[in-house]
Amino acid sequence: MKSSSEQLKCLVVGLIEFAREELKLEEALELMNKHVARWFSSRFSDLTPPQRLALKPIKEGRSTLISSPTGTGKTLSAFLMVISALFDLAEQGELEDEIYCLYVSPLRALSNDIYRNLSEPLSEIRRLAGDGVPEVRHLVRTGDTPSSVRQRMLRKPPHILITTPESLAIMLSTPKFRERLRSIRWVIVDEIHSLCENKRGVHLTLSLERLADLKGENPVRIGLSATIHPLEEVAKFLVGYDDSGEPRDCIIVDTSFVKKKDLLVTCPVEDLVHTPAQVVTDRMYRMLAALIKKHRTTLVFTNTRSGTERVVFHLKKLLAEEQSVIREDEIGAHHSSLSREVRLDVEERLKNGELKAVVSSTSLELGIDIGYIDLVAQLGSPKSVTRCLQRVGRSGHRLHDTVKGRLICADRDDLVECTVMVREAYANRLDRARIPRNCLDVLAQHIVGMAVVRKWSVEEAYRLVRRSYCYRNLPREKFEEVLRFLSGGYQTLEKFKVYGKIWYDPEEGVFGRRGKYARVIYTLNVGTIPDQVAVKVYTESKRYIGKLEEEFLERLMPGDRFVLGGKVYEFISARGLKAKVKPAYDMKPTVPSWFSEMLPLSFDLANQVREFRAKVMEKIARGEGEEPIVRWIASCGADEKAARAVYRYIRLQYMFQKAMGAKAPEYPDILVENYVDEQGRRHLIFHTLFGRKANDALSRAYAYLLGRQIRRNIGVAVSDNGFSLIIPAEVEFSWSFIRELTSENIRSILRRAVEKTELMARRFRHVAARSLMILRNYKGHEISVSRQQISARKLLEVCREIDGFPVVEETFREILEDYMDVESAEQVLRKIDSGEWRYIIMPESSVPSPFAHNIVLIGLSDVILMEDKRAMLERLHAKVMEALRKAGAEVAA
Amino acid sequence: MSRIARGLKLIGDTEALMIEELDTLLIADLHIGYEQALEKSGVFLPRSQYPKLKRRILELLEDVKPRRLLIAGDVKHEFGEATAQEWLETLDLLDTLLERAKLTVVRGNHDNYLIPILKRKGIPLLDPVLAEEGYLIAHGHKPIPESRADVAIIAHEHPVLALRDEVGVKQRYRCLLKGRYEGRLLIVLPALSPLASGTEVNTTPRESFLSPDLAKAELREFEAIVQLSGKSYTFPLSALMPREP
Repeated sequence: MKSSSEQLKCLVVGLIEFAREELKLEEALELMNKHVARWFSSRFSDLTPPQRLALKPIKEGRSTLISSPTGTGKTLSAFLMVISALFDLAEQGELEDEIYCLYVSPLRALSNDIYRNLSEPLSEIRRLAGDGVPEVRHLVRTGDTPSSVRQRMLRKPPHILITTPESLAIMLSTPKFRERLRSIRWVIVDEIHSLCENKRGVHLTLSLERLADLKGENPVRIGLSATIHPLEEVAKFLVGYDDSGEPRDCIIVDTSFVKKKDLLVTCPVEDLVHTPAQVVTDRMYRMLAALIKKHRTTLVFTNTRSGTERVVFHLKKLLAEEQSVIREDEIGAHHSSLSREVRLDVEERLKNGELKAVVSSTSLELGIDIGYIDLVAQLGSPKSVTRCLQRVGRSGHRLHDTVKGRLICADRDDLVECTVMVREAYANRLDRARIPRNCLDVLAQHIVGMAVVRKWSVEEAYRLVRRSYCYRNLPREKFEEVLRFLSGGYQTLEKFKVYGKIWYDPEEGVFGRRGKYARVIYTLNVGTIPDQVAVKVYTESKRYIGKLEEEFLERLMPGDRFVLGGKVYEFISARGLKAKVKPAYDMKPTVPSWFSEMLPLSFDLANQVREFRAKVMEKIARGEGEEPIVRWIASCGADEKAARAVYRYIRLQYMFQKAMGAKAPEYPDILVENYVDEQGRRHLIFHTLFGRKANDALSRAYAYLLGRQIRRNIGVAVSDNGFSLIIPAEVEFSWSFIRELTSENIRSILRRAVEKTELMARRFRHVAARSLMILRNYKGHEISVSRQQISARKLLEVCREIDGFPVVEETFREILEDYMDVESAEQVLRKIDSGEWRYIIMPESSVPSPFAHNIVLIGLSDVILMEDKRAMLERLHAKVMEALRKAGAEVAA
Repeated sequence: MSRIARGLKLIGDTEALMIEELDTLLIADLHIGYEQALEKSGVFLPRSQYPKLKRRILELLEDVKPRRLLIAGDVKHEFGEATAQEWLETLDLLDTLLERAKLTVVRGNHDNYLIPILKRKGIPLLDPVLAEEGYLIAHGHKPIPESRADVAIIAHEHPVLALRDEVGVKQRYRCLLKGRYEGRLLIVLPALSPLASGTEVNTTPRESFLSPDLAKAELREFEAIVQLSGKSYTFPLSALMPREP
């Protein structure tokens, strides 16, 4: 076959190239096996955009990443040439009983979907080819597959094997079945966008390298992804590196923007500050109901699980009141707390067009075929351009449909955010995905898997691991440290190395399996998804209420009040994993419920929002006038009400800052306020609009330093738009603590700030489980998740005493890099270090600026219930207006 | 060190009790080999506790130089029969201690398989109590027997005090309990083991205490004493326990 690289007009980026040559239908059919071609022409009138670009590279055996929205024939792009090649072999009588193609998807349900979707073409094509041609077989193998089926698979393997990342890792360590994997020529990885930003994806890259190593050469890797950025990095994630440190070849097929977009930000009322909460909510539901009525099927996204149930409840109520044509049972809810049966039922009904609307939190984000959706409605902000497009992209299932999305926001910060988000979405500017690096726990797990199979030299194993994108820069010392940990190398006495799962000889530089349980331990404990250690909560009369996380329970003292299932309870006592509480329905909670359910605003988008705010203020300063500015804002993708609300919000801040005098900051400087509230608390409010992850890092570091200065613990409130440090007003302090934090020392400061927290204990437990230090299943017994014997906190204490202990190191890394965003925080601090950006500190005031209100609300130590929140907002707003009037500023109502 | 009562001193970082009249240093609940028990439940900890424990006991002996060292039960953490290898640390400790002081053990609920070993080494084992000159020392897993002692000392509970600071961070501190029960002074020793979990004395309901006597005692009238870096803090439990309903 003549290499057609000369024919391809390519945009070369290293060895990663974007595909440019588009095939015509006839050309594509020429490349296919004739029966496959016949089948294709009988089903489809033309190629879809990804197919035009992907079929040829795949036929030529080139690894390919296909990024394309739903309903554009992505799956077929991947499978068509593989099936074609298999039928070629079949016709030539050369189709062996071997696995030729491996398909990996993160969802078992998706695997089952793919199985069904392949059945028809495979049997159809065979019928066209005639009985003389052997069957091309496909089978699914996951945790659900019964052992009888697995035995049969061993004797007679399918040609196409469909599986999950965890099952693949297990297969690679199973002595007999792994031999069957050597014949694999193509690996298809689906839903790569949902894998590459978490440890599950990291885990998969190591499995793929182990597979390539088993084969002796790298198979063709085909990746399927929804909208994501930057594609070059995701491509390298898919294909990995060769031993000289260069990324392997990959063709990128980017047809993510092939569909037209119709996106709009809307606001339910004109005046978000003064309109009572009830009215705002009511109008929002009416707006939503109106949209649902106007469309055939609407997918509604909320951002939290609890939000989902609430929305369904209110929608149904409203529709009943309106005596609408829509029946109650035409609205469904879908989220991970619902049982599998319920979810499957909703998915079926959705696919069959029986539902007018489905309300979901995030679970429907993964790519199951859900039929025809003509509108995606998002309540509140989806927090990143990429997620917005991924969600909105679920609509318009057919290729030439438009993707239609409506973002309904009832919060002023959300409005600003979404306006900018929609603008970026139209411009196809996505925020960057962050792929985790050097995860020592996933590495530990795989090393055990490798050791279970055979002896390895450290050199060989290290080289293998470095071929994965996620480990390409892994220092040799860290690798050896993990080996040391796994082999029990922290004992003073040799004889106590019993707990090791591998043996390791540092002198000889080799390691291998130890103990007859190593393989069983590995097989039964593979995976990266952490177990939820749930504490069951009961009242004194033994009524079951719900579940809490173990680490949350560890914080509680008798008398603490917290919210569970929307109601307030008082903690009495706990024994093991059972907690006793009593209802305290009329009282306020004293322990804030964790808002970790909320998605964080991406750093990239946050910077855009910061610039946008500055731009609007600039226009106001230049005297451009309300109408032209509102039109300009609307042109980003907001309706008139929303645009006006955004304008008014920013203008209010502008005027407030002006009234403060000449010291008001100008972009890119950062405003810092010193607000003392009526309860005698001082809030130091930093308007660091960098997204919650970066702010988490910055706020904790500053809080630690301030705490050291005044010798007290500091209250911290963090949001996407900034953070505040809260101390008693009468305590003296100096702003010098700000200068103590630099881009050079933030990591070491954060380590100290985080090491005694609940977060650290919880993440430590997860990392320890992944590293096989704590087992879910041992010697065949399912270990009750109860950690009665020892708490995560205590384990952590012991492990902290050992310098460089990998499980502890990885916990810190995960918290700083994945959970928070220390790298973006470092970026911000570099600008501050150099003086390019400055903190502009305001004098003490009893009135917080409008932009600060949301942060202040978070910072109030009594957790306020929703109704009170609005009342608070109104009061703060009134104070602002009063301050402006005093300053003689012209204020609109 | 600080005086707990006449003739009783708390030693170290809430680690040991010195009974002056008996020239005896008292420690309890070592639970050597706890890591093994964890292993059986699928938790694999590096075995780094023993060297620290051993060194600490030797330091305490150096500081106080008692005639006798008394271990009030649970020397080794037992989880069914153990292999010879798993006894290494305990044997090593016993041998080392024998060189430094007279050693005596009061039987605890984890000490079953220890008994033949103690016999072999000539270490006296007292079961259920050691009673001398008005002092009664038992492990505490069974009710204290009738006696005319004015001071009863037990272990087994691993008492811990849970305190919370202004921003809601909860810290746990190993403590010694002191109070009156059945007409005499009752002392509950802290556990020397850093790993075995303990009872939070100010937040745990009475019925959940491990020791049968503590489950009946009027804990509200007890004091918890924490000693760290040479300073001693006494907490009346009445101030720290939740109010009665």
